[in-house]
Amino acid sequence: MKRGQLQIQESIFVVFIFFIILMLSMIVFYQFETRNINGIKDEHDENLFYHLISYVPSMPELQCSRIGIGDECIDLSKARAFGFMNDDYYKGIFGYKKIILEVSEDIVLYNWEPNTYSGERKISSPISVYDPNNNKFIVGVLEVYMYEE
Amino acid sequence: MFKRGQAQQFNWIFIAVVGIIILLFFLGFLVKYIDLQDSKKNAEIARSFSNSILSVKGTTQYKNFSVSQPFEVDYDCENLIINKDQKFRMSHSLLIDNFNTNKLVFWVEEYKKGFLIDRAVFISDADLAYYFEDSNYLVGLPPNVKIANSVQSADIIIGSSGVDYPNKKDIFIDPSAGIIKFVDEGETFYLGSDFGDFFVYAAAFSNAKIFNCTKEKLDGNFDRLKELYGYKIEQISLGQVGICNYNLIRNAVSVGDIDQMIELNNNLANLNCEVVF
Repeated sequence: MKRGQLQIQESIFVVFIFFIILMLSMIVFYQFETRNINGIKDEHDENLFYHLISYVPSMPELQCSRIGIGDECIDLSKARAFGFMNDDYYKGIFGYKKIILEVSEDIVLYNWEPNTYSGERKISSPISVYDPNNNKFIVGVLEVYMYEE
Repeated sequence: MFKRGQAQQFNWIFIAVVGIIILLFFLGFLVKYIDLQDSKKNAEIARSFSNSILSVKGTTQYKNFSVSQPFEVDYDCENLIINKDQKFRMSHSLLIDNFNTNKLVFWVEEYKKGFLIDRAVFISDADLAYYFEDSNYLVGLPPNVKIANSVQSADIIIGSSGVDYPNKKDIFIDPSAGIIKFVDEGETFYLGSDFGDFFVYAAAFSNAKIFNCTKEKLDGNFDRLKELYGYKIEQISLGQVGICNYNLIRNAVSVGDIDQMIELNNNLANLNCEVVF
């Protein structure tokens, strides 16, 4: 080959390598930015998870009330009924979670388990529970589990 | 092979082609990067907006929300969608969708049919002014909603006069006949007499599509809660003796007779019996 041809091939090779490095660095940067967005979404999901511990006791399906006025406690009879309801509607609200009310018995309020999951995270909080059958307030523990895929 | 002139020509073509490819590559990346940055911004607005709403959802508070850049809010009856990109679930939301603003007001209203059915989130552009012909409806509104003193200065008019106001959103209400009409959209809803303030506000702060889907969802919740209260009645009636009779309220709940449910529940309270709701 002549010198000129060698120079052209060399230039092509340098440009080719430059392109590969440029593309790789841009792909890495793009993925990094995409992960940032997913991080924001994960943070939001996490907030929703923590929000459940305060939201669940205030749901009309569980909240105590007297003559239409809500109270800051869970109605034990409503909790038992809610555990039996098994309505797909709540899957849209809670997603892959398990919610348990621990009193003298464990009442599974909701459970939707994914086919596979790597682990579960749990938050719990003490909660006042009203038993209408005995007209008594007892202390229970509300546990919310999040299945991690 | 190449002569000197040809080699030079080839060099120029090569530089031009490579230059164009590099330029296109950078342009493509720039477009993608801008999309990504927009998406990131939308995700941040969505997260911040959702957190603000969630903080008031369990209560009946109100809040203002503002960001530096205007953003668009849409609603598909299940999710709030920010700038047609990022969405988050917020059922029972009432808003005039497809608006573009950087200042929002929102608050939570309880919807009751004897017992609490659910809490709905009302969202409005902070700059929209509302005019209620019947000033009694102003009592139930949070102070961060902009109220117009006259029809002329209002964007949305809610009244029973039946006058058609051009270029304004006009809601006709007739509580005694149970009618709510979205005049400019040509949609009429028959809700039954004395439908209460909730649906007046729901009509004022939403459009016909969202009003309808929220109403249907709340009706669905009512059915679920009727079933749940039916089960509760079964449980509490087992432990009650004597004057505490739950048969009537059981029937009232199962058919959803609200007036009777409330009356029978009050009777149980007056008799010192365990109430149903």
